[in-house]
Amino acid sequence: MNKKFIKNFIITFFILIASTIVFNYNVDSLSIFKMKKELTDIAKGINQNKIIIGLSNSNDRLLQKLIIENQKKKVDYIALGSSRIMYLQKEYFLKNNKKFFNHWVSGASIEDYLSIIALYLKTHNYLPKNILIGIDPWIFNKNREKNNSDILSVYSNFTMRLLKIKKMENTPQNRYKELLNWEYTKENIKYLKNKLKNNNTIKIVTNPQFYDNYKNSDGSIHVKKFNLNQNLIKHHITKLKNTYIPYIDRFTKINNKQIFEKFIFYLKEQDVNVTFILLPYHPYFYDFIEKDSRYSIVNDVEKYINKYAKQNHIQVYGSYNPYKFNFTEKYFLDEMHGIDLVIKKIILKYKQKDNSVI
Amino acid sequence: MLFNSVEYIFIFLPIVFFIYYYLNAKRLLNASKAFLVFASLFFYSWWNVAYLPLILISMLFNYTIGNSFSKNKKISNKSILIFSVIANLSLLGYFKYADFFIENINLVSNNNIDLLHLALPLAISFFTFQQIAYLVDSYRGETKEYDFLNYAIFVTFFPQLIAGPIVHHKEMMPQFANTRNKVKNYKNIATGLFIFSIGLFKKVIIADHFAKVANIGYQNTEILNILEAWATSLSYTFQLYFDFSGYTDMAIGAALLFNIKLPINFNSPYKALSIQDFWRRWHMTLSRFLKDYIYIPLGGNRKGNLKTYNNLMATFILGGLWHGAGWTFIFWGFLHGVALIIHRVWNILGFKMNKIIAWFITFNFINITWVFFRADNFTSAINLIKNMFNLYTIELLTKENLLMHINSKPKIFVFIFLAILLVTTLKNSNSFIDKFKPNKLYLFSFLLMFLIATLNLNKYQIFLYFNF
Repeated sequence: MNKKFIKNFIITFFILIASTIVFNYNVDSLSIFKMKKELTDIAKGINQNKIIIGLSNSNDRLLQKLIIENQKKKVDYIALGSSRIMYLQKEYFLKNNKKFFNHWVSGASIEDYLSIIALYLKTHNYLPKNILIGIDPWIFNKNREKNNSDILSVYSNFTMRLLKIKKMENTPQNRYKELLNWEYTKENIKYLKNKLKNNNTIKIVTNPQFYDNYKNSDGSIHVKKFNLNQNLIKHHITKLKNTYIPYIDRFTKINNKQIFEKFIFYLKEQDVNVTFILLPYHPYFYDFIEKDSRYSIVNDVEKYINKYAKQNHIQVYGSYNPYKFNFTEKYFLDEMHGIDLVIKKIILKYKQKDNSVI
Repeated sequence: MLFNSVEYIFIFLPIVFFIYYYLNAKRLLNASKAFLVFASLFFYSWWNVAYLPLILISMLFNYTIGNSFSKNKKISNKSILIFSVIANLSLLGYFKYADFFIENINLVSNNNIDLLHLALPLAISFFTFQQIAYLVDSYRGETKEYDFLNYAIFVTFFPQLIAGPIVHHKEMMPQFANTRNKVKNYKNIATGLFIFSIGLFKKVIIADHFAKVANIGYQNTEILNILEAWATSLSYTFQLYFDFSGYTDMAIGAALLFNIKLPINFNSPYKALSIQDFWRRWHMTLSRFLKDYIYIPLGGNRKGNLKTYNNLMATFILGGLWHGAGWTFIFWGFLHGVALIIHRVWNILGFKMNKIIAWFITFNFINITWVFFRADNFTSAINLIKNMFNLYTIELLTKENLLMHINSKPKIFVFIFLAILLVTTLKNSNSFIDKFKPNKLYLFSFLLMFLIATLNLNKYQIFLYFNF
């Protein structure tokens, strides 16, 4: 009786678990396990100067890997950073034939910077000569939420070995655990439902003029018109203020300094021209984090970056403080994302000051 | 290795289970014991292999001392016992209390001695206490002579190594020695798996969900409104119970797979009608240890009321200190000591109380004292308690800011209410050890709990008692 009970349990349990694993592995909405043909096509399309329509909910880190692997032409300028830098496009600062690519990934961490650099070194055996790094305060927060940064961990580990760094101050999660993750199962069910309704079609096209929103062939994001409702944005920020703020929650100490400095030192040693970009926060949000002791570390990060940049002769563009560049509420989509004009204005301001830079 | 990890449930546990019974089936009884010790040490080292020598040295030392009581003639056994207990406590003190001691020296003497910042070796409080108990029992002549392999199993047996239950050699050794326990017992396996799945569900689904509210709340104690403050304190009260009792269920379940019955550690503690009743139901093996090796040796209740109160207070302050090196833990122990003394006086005076009122007072006392147990410091604890009774914040409540600071929704109170119902009206998991029946209802509930918990394993959190 007991033996039969155990047998029934084990068989049923493993059938259910195996079905979940097979389902998650096959649907794999974020391409965690398999490189989707779709993702390879996007990467190839981007490298053929095409634009991508309807790209959402994809594995942006894996896409960067595929883009770099499919690059035929040497890249002169790259941008590293999070979605806060996604609107940085070539036209804002380069008019010549130099090639630029924006490698932004959602919630970028230092591991992501290291991974992109490793991909250039391993795949093409060179480093772009100019690197613009959009520095978000959370890259120094070891308690930040984890994204899928570990997907490219083999590459970030490569750079870490190069920099003789033993380990990061956080531990990436094993991606195979996603096979048994209820959250990922839900995400896959949603993805499948959308796909069945045909809501998830991605187009790779040459002519952008018929489309409003797309991913440019330089990796940046183009949005024709932003629909901003400041009341809604403020309401969202008010809610955030009273709960916890993604990425900068539990941020009490500047971590990862050593790895950051070793990384920049390495780039400079390789003769790479490094530029730091600090993008402003929404004024309403900035007022709050400036006053709240839990988030005052954001300003400490800015001070640290400015000091470090000065000591190492690195240009710093922008500030987390929106008032420094007279950015009002109308320039923001939410607490941390400015519209395209924000980065455009910042770049232009420095370009006017010093025409020789980027 | 955590009980609530994929590595443990799907790799480690099945491999150890099959190899252990394979060796037993081949009549390689010593090899199977040695394998179990090896597996347990592997389990322990998974976290940090650097601590492995520490537990090995501690085992060798205590085993040698324990054996010397019957052989030694030159030095008095009492001197050996005192020396060995001091040695054990020094080891624990060095790793667990050195910084606390230095901080207080600095505070009192206005010095600035550098802290040692030692990492606390996993399970040190548990294996130290277990071995002190063994030494005292050996000194009293209550132990038999065991070989090192048996002793090593007693200390390292992986289901209870990290966070208890704190076991006595006399309840473990005969079980390891019993040859009938070397063959697979399907009733024990089925019951063990069922109890394990209850524990896993308690930890992964209930405790970890309450943890989200408790963690945010305890980070923001100064700005909470009255509802948030109560949600925070009650969430922690249930997190701690479901976390630790979940861990214990998993330990009991895993041990049953090897035909080993661990003592129960929780007996519906939140049903308690008095603080004395609570301590008979909460972390029972620790209470047993404190009673047998501190309270009774101090004199227990044999030397008059005043001495009894002193002994109670000393026992609970030490119990508080055992949980953590901090004044908040000591204060928590002190509060429980005070409550026990009041309860004793109440009984002596012959007062009685309505059961519902008794439960209400006991539960709320426990809930409020857990605030000192959990808070990072006194300021944070006092802020939370103040806000739990700050009626002025009621006027400021709006639909939007109701539970904003804890990032929660009103349904948290539904969960808290359900948790109260669950812990006060239902039978606890221990009852299933004897009543388990391999029928369809059990199979369905077993599958459901195990499946839901397994699919939520990826966001596992460490067990709270690993820190103690």
